[in-house]
Amino acid sequence: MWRAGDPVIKFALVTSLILVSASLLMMAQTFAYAQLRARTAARREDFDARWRPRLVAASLDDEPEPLPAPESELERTWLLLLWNRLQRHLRGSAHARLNQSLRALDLQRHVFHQLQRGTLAEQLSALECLRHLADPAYWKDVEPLVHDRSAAKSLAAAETLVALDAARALQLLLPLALHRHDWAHARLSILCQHAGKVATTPPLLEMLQGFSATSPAARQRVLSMVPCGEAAQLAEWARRALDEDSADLPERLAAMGTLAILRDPADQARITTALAHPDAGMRLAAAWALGQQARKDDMTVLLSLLRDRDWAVRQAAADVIAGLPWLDASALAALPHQVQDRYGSEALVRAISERSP
Amino acid sequence: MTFEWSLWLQYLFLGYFLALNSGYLLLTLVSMASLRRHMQLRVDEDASAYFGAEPPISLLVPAYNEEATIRTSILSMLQLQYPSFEVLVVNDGSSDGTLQVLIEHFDLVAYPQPIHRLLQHAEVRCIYRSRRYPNLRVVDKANGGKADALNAGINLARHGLFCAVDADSILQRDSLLRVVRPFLDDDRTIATGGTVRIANGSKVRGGFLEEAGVPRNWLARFQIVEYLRAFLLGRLGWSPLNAVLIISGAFGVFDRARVLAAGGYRHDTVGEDMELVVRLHRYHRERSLPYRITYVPDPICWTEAPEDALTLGRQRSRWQRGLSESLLLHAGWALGRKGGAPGWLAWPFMAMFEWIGPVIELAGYGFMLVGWLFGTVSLVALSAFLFLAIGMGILLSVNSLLLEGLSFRVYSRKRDVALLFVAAVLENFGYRQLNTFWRCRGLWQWASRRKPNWGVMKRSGQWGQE
Repeated sequence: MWRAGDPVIKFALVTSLILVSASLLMMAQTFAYAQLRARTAARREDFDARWRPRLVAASLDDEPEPLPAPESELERTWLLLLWNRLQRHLRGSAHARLNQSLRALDLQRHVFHQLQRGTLAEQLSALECLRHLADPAYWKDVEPLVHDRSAAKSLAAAETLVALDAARALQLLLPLALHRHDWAHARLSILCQHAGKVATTPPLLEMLQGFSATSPAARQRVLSMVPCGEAAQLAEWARRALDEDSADLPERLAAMGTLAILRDPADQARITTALAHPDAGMRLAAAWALGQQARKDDMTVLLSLLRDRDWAVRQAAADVIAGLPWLDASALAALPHQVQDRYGSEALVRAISERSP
Repeated sequence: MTFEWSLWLQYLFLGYFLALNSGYLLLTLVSMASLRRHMQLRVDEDASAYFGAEPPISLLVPAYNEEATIRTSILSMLQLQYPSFEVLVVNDGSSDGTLQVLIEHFDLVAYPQPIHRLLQHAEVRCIYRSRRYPNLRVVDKANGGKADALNAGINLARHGLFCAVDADSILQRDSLLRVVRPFLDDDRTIATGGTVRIANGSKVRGGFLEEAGVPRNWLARFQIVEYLRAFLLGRLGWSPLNAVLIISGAFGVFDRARVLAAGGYRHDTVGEDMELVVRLHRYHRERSLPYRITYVPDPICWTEAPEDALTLGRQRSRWQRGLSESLLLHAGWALGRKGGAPGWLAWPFMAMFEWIGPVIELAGYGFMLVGWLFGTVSLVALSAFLFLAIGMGILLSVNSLLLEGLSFRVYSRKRDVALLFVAAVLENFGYRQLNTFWRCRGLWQWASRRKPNWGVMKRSGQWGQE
């Protein structure tokens, strides 16, 4: 019953041999790379062990020993990676000394070479290095990369620009961010945090003023950056947003967040109005805002929030009440018995219990 | 007529193995490209680049009869390198001293936490907070199973992200930092999973893994290779297509609001981790909501693997049941209009090669070998079959080891690497076939609706109470 000539079986055998050969080739290539990588990794460990103490000494000493020049292109790359890693954790004069050590080794040329011709990893490393050096003269070399298609590269370039000149950077980056949907909110927020409120607020205000003309996605982006702006300068926008009927819910929420930071008694009426808003998120934001500036007169309002139909609002109200500075332990302990609503009372008992040691 | 049937069956089995191995080869190619890209973006080993900007996480730790290891596990979790997180242990009606150990060692006191019952679960008896560790709470509840415990944890979690971690798992100090990166890099991310590796044979101290090692036990060695193949070839291949169908229940981070919207964990399946992920795909695709479920190869969760055949067999049968339940529950969506890559690519792949695959595989071995002995199957056909079934299996396993060596090099000692290579070869002579049998048993148990038997895993207790 042996049919050696069956074409399908032959085809199966040939195909399986091809698959096996392809896999063997892939294996051979991967094995070769793995061996190479293992050897390179061992050399790099050795390099790091030699250079780390030198760089640490350079960061501590005002007149350090001159550093030897790295022997090869690979060692220059490793040195930059090690240098970057150390710089991430340094501030102040140690940071500046390490910058000086890089300049003394004339490694900026290598950095620019990597920036222009390197692999993605090398470009990211070079951008980080320029971020630490923070010389505004690098602007023209970095700025084009902000428009790169790669989100990783463009964001790294954005972070470097912020380090070079925060105000100028955010003037460029915030409008760009409206169209870069591959720039996650979290990363944008980090950019603004690094830039600081002083740099973030002017372009943010400009975008808030042109708000109605933008798309919903762009509006969402702008509003997500509001917490990064200076509350005092955003106050006028926030109050107008809460007073006007035209503002939608996300805008009102962002505005209420700003009022919470401001803690201005003049906003009391706006906050109280928002406490009756049909949207639970709005009531929650208003509860927190009230909590930032609550006075003894507000106790009735705060206790009424314990009866809110939304869980999160009740919990927030309980946390605010439990944190009121003028209520001592005995006054707090007596409060739950005054709350008729069972769920509100439970929330308050929880909040008070969490504050006790 | 008998001969024709025999020939067609040969075609079937050969065709199946051709398709299986071609599929895995394709996945391997995608994995290699994905890993290369990942290593480029990784730039350097340091995971603390955005320290302080990461979103807060609630670590949910369901625990059942973990008296021996719970103290060390929780202590190590409290020392994780992450800016803001809480640890919420859910004691799922343990019959041993798990709760007592927790109360004594973490200075727990009962406190009146109301429960927002967004998901149903068994009765909660008491909630404790720690006076020593402000970010630790313990929930004591009636036994309801892992899914039930996780749902209770989700209800009580304080943060927008939760990370489900097994009580006997060991996370590395920077595991959370690494696994959360996709949430920072892409707004659409709703879930991420890391790599689960076998801790047997490794040095564990104070609840942290100091040095990875290869165990003496061959079953555990085979499982190391298996896990590497599953994660570095399987999940890494599906991730770029947004078609990862499993995030390991031992270590995964989820967007709490999205999981609540999708209904939380199901109680009526043993594969609650996979079922949730498939349902998340379904939920978002049916509503055309942008989302991403990502696998990140860096963050590691170490777990103890069974070293005896009885426990391992039960585990594999149970996993097969879980797979069957998860796939069948969502078959209608997967093959429908809104299936997308997870439904039209990953689901059929899993169904063909993981779900009914064991049956075809076992039948193939039996038919081809017996057929050759009785002369109904040619030597050519048998050779092709063995090349595909065993030869390709070896190659895929070895390739996953090489990828590991290329990227993370967790096993640094040459002896360990050599042992794993030997395991990758030997795995295909006996272990794989035994696994196939266990999976067929799991299928049978699922089909006959037998009650699952978790059994008791024998622990080595290597990371006891140091």
